Amino acid sequence: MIPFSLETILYTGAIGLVVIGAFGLVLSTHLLRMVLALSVAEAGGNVLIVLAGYRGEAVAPILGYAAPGTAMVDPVPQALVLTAIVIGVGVQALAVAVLVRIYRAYGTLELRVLVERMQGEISEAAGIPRSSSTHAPAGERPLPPVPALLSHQARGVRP
Amino acid sequence: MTAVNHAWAVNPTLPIVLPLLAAFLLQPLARVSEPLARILGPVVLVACGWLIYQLWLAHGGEPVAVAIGSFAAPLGIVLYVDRIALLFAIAVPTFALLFWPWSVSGERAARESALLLLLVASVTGLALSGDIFNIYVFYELAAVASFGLVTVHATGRAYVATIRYLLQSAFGSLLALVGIAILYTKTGTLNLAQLSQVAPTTLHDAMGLASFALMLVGFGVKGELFPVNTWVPEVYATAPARVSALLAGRVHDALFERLMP
Amino acid sequence: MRNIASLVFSFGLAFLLLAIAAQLGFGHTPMIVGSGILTGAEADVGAANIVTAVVFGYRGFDTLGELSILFAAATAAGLVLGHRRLGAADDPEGGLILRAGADLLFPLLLLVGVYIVIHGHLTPGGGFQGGVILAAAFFVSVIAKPSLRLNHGAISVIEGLAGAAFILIGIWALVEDGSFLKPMLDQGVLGQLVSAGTMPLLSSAVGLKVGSELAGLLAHISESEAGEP
Repeated sequence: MIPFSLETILYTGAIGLVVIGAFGLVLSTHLLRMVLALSVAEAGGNVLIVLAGYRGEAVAPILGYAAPGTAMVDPVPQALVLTAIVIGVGVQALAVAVLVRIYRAYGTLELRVLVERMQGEISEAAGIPRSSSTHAPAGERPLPPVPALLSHQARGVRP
Repeated sequence: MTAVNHAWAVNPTLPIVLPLLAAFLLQPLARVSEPLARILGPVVLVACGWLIYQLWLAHGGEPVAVAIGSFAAPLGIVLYVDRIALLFAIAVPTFALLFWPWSVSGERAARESALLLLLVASVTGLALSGDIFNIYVFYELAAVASFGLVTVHATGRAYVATIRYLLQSAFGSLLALVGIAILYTKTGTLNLAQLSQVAPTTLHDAMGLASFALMLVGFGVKGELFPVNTWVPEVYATAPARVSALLAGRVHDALFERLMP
Repeated sequence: MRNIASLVFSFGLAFLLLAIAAQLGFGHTPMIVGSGILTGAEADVGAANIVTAVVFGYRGFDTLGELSILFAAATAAGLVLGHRRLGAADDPEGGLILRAGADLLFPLLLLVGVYIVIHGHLTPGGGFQGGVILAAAFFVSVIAKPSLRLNHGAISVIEGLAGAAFILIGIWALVEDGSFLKPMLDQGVLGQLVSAGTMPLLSSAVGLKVGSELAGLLAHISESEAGEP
């Protein structure tokens, strides 16, 4: 029986965000969805850092509002999260700018189509033929080998 | 007398801060006078190399901890200057000078030079820092500056390589951040020296192992550890040669140097 | 195959993190650094808001790194996006409500942003928070009226000079007092608007830089056309 304490809810929420973001990042095929999933995961990571500073029955670390001597929450994780959020914003903005240019160059943001076109360009630039495609090969379907005949012959050969 | 007056010049924050200052001022300067802007970057790199050499001479062999802002050790950020760190630090402006983009001009040149200066500042900071969150911040700065530098060729392939590199690097840094969060929850400090002191008692359990593993994977993405180095071939194929050389040579090794201790 | 590997990785990550959280304590962190800062902030820095004291005082070097990251992202985005072609078609304008609302919100958002930047050392707030609100003032106008063009030259000059001001204040502290980014100037009375030495100056420089930078970044993204190559 899982106790629904404050601790459980908070940690599950933070880790849930990170895991949802990780799922989205590895399972997506569209670049914009990957960037959004990354943003969700970073939000989860920031919540985890803030949780590191929690202290029961403590107030915000601002002097002059509470009686001197009351316990205050740890201010360092809050400063760390400020930095981490701004870094995340910068990286996401740059990602969106690169996505705009990719769309302008290729006309699509689907990862599979992009990789195929890129490999084609690289092969053309290098002068080698394009690598094997996922389409069916041209011509007739080749006949499969005959395993029954081979094993029967092998059994016959063995003493 | 001159030693006292110029004692502030032998401060290890200067080789990190001067390239940042030059990067910030580069674009406004380029509007005023372009030849001055083109020469500012190399001048600053030469000055940083000279400053690091002075640091090498000044502290005759023993490692020195310099508290930034005069906030004493665990409360503030500390730069840890020893011979190995200085060796790594001196290589950075040298390589950047060798690979400086002399032939580019115009507004793109100002932006590319600014990104190169930021990369130099961040790798120098990585080499000299003694605080784990500071290392994370400089690692991110190196990553973002290199994202910009990889796109200089402006081909479609370069952009796709950049976005793949960006997504993997950002996820790696998220894992590193989670590792740092666990570390701070268990030990309550971010100073590397203090962490090495309290580690045997507080980090000896599964938590310490997990946090170290997360940080290893996280920082390892940029340091091209297997198996998170799938972004490498595309990026090296599509970035300009000098950027690939810089990335492979300096950034990669700087990450390794921090991971080893 | 790739999907199976991805699923395994994600489930493994989820399991690892949940196991970690189950063993991690909550609310009983050993505040080695935290307690020291809580007791020493008033004497060392003189700001009422201890989080701002940490951001601009104790960990001012991290703040400098963070400023540089934002600058690197904006510069890289400028490098990636380039300039808009003359004569390219504009995005459609917003409706009447959107445009009127943007005109109304612009001065209010500027006022709130400046308030939060200036009072960063007294109440929750500071350079970054206020800077984002300042940028939001420009966001709203650009989204409602895409034909509005921001002056990118002025923006890059403002962000460059504001960033340089931050570093120059730190270097001045280095020359005067022997240590980069040491709190200088008289600390004043705790809780007054003019207190905490150089910290409001640092906060204002950061607010100006972040505001202009994010506004320029969004204007760049909004102005670039994604249609024709």
